[in-house]
Amino acid sequence: MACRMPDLAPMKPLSPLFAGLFALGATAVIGCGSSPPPTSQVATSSAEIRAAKELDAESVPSAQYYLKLANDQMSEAAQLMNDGQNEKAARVLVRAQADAELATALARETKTKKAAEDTQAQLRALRNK
Amino acid sequence: MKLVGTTLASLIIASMFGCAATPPSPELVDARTGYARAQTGPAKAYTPAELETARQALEKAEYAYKDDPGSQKAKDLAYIASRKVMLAEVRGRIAQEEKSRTDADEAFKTAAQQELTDKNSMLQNQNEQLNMEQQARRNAEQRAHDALDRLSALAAVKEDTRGTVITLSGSVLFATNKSDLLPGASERLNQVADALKEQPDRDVTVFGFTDSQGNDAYNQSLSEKRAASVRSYLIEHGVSADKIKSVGKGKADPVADNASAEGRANNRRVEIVIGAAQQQSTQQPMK
Repeated sequence: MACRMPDLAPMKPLSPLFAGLFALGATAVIGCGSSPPPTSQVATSSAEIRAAKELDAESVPSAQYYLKLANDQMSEAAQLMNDGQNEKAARVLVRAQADAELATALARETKTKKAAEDTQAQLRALRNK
Repeated sequence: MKLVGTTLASLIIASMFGCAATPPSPELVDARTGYARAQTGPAKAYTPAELETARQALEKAEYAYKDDPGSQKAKDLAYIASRKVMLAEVRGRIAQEEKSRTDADEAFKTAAQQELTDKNSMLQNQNEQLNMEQQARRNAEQRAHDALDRLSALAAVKEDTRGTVITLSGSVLFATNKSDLLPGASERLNQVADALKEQPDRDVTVFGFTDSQGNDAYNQSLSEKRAASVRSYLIEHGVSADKIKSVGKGKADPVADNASAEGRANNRRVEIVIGAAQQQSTQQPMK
């Protein structure tokens, strides 16, 4: 990635050449904004979206909207990181995570409700025999 | 002109204050009303920890809003808070549904177990009843068998295609040309009656036979009367009238040669035929 901090040489007395390189590296970092890319937040948010999809959130009406918000914000964050706006990307990713968590819970709610209804129907069937 | 100027200035100032007092974001409003709602919903009882997380998120959002209402941080935290509040509500509902499922499951298991127990005890009762019936039938068969055994000491008892046949000699039962029973007949006929009463489900036929001497019509009539006499006696001694009938056969179906005196004596006889067991069922007929 363009914004990654360059590897620094071991701490030896700096030669003029190294000092020059260091200055260049520092400039690059400042150019990219003051924070590194939020890779762990990307992983967390992606994982939450996967969890929602595994619960079939895409086909659950109540969950669809929030899953879409999460996906859209993931794309937005990727674009922001591309543009070097890591801090802003991190914020969007946190929102995406919150939306994905909600989508996951909503998908689970539907399943749980279905299971509860099935069990109650079973019970009624048994009692009406 | 001056008045207009001050009014305008104050309007501008007022509008500036209006702008400064940034209204809460829709997310913050959502989070506030959602949190109030969640406190009276299932989350309160089922997922209090989730509700607390939501409360903390809302608190952070409120601080950020107070600190700087228009800031990105305030908007972000309000957004997160609104989602956490909804999350707490959803998870509360999930916990509630799970509880209701578990309850229904428990009730189902209990009811199923009960049904099984009921069925088992019903089956056991049926089995016991069946065993008792079988035992009773075996006992009855044994008694009938015993009765026939005792009878076989006094009369010829054999099986043929018609069933069990008890043959009694005519000379033991009747005087010549008479159809009234001799006093000596009663011992044998009592035994026959006992044997028949042990098998109340069987149809019984009393056949009268003569030898070939004399007039056929007379023989026929005599055989009928003799069979009827035996039938009457058996009914008097406890055999069900609707299960027993009598038939006169005259000189038909001889069992011995009518040319000899001994043969003729053998042909003069009464046969009591106990028919095969009827299909007996103690259960209700199927419909």
